[in-house]
Amino acid sequence: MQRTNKIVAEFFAQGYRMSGTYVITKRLLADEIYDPTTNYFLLEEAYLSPITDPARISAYYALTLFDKSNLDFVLTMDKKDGLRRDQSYGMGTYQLPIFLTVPFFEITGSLYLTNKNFNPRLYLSSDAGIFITLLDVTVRSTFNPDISYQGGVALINRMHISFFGEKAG
Amino acid sequence: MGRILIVDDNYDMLSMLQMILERHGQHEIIACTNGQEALQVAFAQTPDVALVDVMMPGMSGYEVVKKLRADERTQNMGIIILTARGQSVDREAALAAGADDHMTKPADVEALLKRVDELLERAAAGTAAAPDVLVLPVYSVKGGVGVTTIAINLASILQQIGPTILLDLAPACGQCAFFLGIRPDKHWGQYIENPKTPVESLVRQHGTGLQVLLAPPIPAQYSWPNKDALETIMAQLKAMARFIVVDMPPLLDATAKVVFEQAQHIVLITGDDAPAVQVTRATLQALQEWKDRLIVIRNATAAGPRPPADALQKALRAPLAVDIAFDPNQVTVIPKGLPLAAVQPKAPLILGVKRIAQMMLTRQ
Repeated sequence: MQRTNKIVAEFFAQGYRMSGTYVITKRLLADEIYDPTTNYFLLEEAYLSPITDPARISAYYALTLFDKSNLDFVLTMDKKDGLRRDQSYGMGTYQLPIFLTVPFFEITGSLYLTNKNFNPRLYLSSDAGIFITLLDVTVRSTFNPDISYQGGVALINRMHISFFGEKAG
Repeated sequence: MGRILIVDDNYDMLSMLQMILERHGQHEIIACTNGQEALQVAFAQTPDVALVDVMMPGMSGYEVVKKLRADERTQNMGIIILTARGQSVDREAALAAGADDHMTKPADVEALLKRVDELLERAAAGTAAAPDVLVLPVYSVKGGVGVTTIAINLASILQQIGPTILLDLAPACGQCAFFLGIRPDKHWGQYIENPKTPVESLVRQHGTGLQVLLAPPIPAQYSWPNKDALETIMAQLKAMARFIVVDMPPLLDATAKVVFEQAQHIVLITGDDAPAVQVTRATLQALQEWKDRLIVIRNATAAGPRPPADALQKALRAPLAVDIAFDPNQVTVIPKGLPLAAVQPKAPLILGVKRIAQMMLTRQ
């Protein structure tokens, strides 16, 4: 089916799942999310669900503005939809399986690195915006591990990460 | 050529789908941009198939599907939920609402057209509801592993999703009547005695809304249904429900095979002790024909130490889908004649059974 300039992504914050449409005008979704010069993010056609019952739609908003710093993570099904313009040219050579936690969720996925020598402290504290990109992601609800989400890309708010580790095996 | 209803609040998506379906099969397309309008049109024009978006202002796609399924004019129509919400919880919600399928946007056009064609063929053959009724036997050749407990609670959980019938197939003295506190004055034995009896008239309704076809209460009074009789019983039950959970007896004859043939999933229960493991291993071999449908569950029916799941899996040479620990709550509800799922939905046993239900719905 033909792709349009609208993409639907999942936004998770403070115990809520919001599925919303981002209209690509000038910038890709990830460029907008990563942009450190803007605090707010505009979403169209947003449908809200509590993470305890994530399929139930509890509210609808035609337009929603939210504070990016409050986001836990953003999930896109398609990799293309979640990468920044510069990332879409190449994601690095080394894949590092990662496990991390943000409020209410455990996330596994791969970091794509250009350098084999990975230093988590350096990685998380380096000043490259508040989000990090994880690929081929599985997200599990901490209090109900049967509920999981799959995604091509997760953009994760590094300020909300509690535990961060290299995944064994 | 069929009549297809498309419901989507996104005009671009609506016109794209309309164009694809018109070109592909010269189908007659009815396009609606909201749920309320779609229901009015569907009830008036009874389309063969509906493609329904989930995220729509006002009425969600799930509500639309539930209302279509609740009305006799549209209850048998083919319904595909087509949504950008593509997670397993969303698929589960779509199927629970009553959709035949769940597809994620942007959908693969070939897959979508194929599924539409299948549903149109089904509508043309007049067999609309039958393929969508899930038949779910709960089975163990060894007694005492909690088959009836799991079957009752699985049925009780599924009842919250859609009309469910619990079929107690014990040749005699079925336990479901006792567990649910229902007097077994109506049972499938009466159909065996008089095949003109409508099966529907023998189905009892429990206070929780669950429908139950009980087993005869007195041993040897009625014969165990033969293959043809059970096929007729199943066909009549399928017209009444979305889910049929079968409390299976420890038999594997031609009659039992009728259920396995019709089942989408077979819940095979094992215990911890050596005889249970040995019997389960042998049963797994005997059920090779249906190995893709098997969901192996360990259910502890007594307190005490248990072998590690890994060791059990090695012994069975099969993965355990769900491992249920002993739950003393179950004993407390039997005198009340209520499924534990209705009384303590967060009890450990029920969380395990919910996982089984979840797997069945998502694997469908």
